[in-house]
Amino acid sequence: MGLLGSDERPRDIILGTLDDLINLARSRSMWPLTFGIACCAIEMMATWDPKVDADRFGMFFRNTPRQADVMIVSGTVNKKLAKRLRRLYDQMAEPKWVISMGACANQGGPFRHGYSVVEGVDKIVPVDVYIPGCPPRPEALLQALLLLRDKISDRELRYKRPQEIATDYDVFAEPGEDGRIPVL
Amino acid sequence: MSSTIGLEPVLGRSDEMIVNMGPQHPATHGVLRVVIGLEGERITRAVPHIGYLHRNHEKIEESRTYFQVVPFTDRMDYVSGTQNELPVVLAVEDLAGIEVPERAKMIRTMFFELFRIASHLVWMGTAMLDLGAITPFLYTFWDREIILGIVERTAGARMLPNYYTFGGVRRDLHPHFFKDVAEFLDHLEKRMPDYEHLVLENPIVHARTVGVGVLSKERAVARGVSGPVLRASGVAYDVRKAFPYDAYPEVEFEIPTSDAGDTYARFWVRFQEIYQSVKILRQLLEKTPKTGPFKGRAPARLKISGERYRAVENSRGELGVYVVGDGGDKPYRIKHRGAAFSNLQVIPDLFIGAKFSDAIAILSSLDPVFGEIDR
Amino acid sequence: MSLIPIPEDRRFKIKLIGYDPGRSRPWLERFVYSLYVVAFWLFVIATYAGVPALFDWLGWDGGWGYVVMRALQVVMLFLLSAVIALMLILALRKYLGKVQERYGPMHYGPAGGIQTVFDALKLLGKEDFVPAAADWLTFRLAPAVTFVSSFAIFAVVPFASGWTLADSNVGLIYLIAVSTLSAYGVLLGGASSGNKWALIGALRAGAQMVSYEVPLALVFLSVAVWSGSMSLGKIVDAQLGVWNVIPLFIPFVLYVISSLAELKHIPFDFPEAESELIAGYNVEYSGMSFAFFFLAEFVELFLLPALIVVFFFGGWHGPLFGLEPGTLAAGALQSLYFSVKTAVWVWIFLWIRATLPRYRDDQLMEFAWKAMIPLALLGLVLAAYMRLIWR
Repeated sequence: MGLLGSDERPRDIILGTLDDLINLARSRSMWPLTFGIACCAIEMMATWDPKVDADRFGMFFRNTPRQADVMIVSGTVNKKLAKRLRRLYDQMAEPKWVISMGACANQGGPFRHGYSVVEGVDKIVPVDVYIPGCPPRPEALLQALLLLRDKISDRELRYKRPQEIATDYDVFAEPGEDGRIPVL
Repeated sequence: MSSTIGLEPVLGRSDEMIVNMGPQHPATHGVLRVVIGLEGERITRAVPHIGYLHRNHEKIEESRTYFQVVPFTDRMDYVSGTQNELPVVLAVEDLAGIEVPERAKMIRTMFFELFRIASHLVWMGTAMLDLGAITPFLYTFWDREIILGIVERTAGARMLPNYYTFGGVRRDLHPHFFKDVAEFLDHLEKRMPDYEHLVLENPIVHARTVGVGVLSKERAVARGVSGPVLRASGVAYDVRKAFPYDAYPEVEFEIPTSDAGDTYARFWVRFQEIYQSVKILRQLLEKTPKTGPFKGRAPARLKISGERYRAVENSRGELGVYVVGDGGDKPYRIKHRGAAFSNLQVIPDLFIGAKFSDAIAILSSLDPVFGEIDR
Repeated sequence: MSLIPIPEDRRFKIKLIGYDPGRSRPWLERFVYSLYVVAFWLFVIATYAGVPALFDWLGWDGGWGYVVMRALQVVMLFLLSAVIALMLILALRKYLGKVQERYGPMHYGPAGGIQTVFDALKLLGKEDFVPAAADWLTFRLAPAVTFVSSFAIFAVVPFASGWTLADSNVGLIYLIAVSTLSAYGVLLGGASSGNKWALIGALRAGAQMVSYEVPLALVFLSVAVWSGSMSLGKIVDAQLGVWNVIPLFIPFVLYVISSLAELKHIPFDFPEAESELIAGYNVEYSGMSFAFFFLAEFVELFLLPALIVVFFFGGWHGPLFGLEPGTLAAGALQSLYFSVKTAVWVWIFLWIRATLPRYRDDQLMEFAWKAMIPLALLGLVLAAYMRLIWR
């Protein structure tokens, strides 16, 4: 994410250094959004407890999406929640990143074969870092946050923005309207 | 569309402002949406919407063997870990006639009570966070980390250990288990007076919770409420005493009950339950033999036929399961009775007429966990 | 088909420099935070003694020169408030960490000292948009109103004897007016956001701040009656023998409580109840507008304890060790005493923030109208009586 939303690092010294500095600042002060969905949310809360303290790295929770940088999707996303999740993502101010925490957010997890579960949150929002685990340990979440920090401040990698994965059904349809689930 | 239930305008209430306490809110209870109608600060309508975490537990479990069902149920009440596994394990043991050795029963009960303490610690931290105090959250999570460390050394995973199995538990206790648990109990008993000072004897907490959200005995029984919410309204019903299982017939403990039925009573009952769990654990630490069988004999392919309902006393109430087996190794139907699901039914009763901040306090005292509610 | 780009030919290593949970180095933390306090102190000396000395040396004493000097002092005070906000945000997080058995920010800068600089730079670079349902003019102006009203209190605070930006005879009235203005900023910000939650937060904030202005004004009156003047410099001068906290104990207690309410601090942080209203009136603000609200709150977190010290704890009084009052050295020493006393009170406010839960708003209002106003009136009467007897 460039200084002015640009797609590559500016070539000259002044703007380039400024770009580096702003992205350094963005990476050192990431503010996650409190969006705990399921079991991974408890491990996310445990990442901020005194044993593994993510506040050491300058991250503290903001409750409103407008002021948050990172959305840590922790838990299974089902079709009812998909629309709301996308809305929250849209409400976040640029620049924003998404961490997909846990097996359920990565690809559906143990619930992948369910009728109401979206197989991975990357079908809804673009994801920057995936964390495997069910649930991932707090240290794993911290590693992912540090990985995201390094990704944001890295010179080439920060301009590569991920995209959502296409699905063959409409993730955001209300139940009964997407053609797959019959209305009872 | 179902998502607009509760948003209909009502004649005569033009002052009402309808607010959506949406699936994302910082009260960290999970994904609950309550459509609240406010007149000033007073609530005039409250319609809860659940289902944002519906993960098809019961349908998926129809295509898993009984051994695979057990770790699946862990994810229901995710704060309480192994407590969710026990109803299925007990039901299948009854139907298949599997014998459980005494020592295994005591180990299961010890883990059950450890997770009850862990769950109540999470509740305490998040309840105080809802009321505005940011510090107890970190103290209780530190104590919970100690418990999770003990569980991890024995079972392998911190929060969702797949530890109970048909006939007992999967692995033996680790060598330092008794010492670890004794140390933890000493540490907790030193901390509990601090928690009482911070929570129960705090005048601001009194002002926020005493007399707020009173649930009468008749209403609680009518709504099917169970657990600390029911006991705080005066009904002394605890599945551990009414239909005992595992090693509970051999330990002495009391059921804390309160007549007040308000939010402070629910806080108080959960505190007392922590003390009772500590008492049970101390008795079990002495009674459990240090070596011995931890698992009875169970067939490798388990074929179950018949129906059975078993319930246990979760941290939230009566968690039950109704297993229907048709002779195969996969269940024909498993129905879970979630404790917090029935507890949530009192939301319209308690919210309407209360002020908005009271609603937050009431919700935190009901202690919902959405894995169990939405399944 | 995955559309996520995967870096080719890159061994991506995680740089975990500084991630060492065992190293806390308390001596380094104390050193860094004392550096902040020293920087603050030097800034104060530069603003109040350096700038007039500079203009004296330049010889620009005339009309326009005076105006330029005052303007330069205001600019330096603005920079000072930025430094204060940086320091206080960090101090809050470190102190919360200490209470909560953990370390606060630790890795960026020595003992976490540069953390807030990164926060500020990040907020500068964040997208700052106005929601479609909001009234854009008021939405943009509200943070400015809040910040200006907090910052304007700097004009009358005496850092040492003679070191005030504008020691007017009606300093107290100016103070009451300016602190009421901050309620406007919050109300406008919340109401113009086009969001029901923000509206609820704004109304709560307005009601709370207005209710607590009345005991505040009565306490100011008590102090004015006892000290015989409404100018803050003279109020501090009058505390030469005994600090005001001893005769005016009831107004002191009420003033601390009202300050907590004006600051929207726990236990009165109802308007931005973080776990209820999702940041209250702040809900729709992002980027630099939000940073202004944030900055205003932390500047007030410094200024209201400073006012407690001015009114009740003797301001800049302290043993001078034989220095001549009025010289630079005496001024420096006095401003050091002022800074240390203010730091003690800021610490007490942060301590309250870390410990207590919050009250419900009708309980807040009830407390203000039914308990604090009668007590404030009693304090006023007592102050008048004591002045009659003892002075």
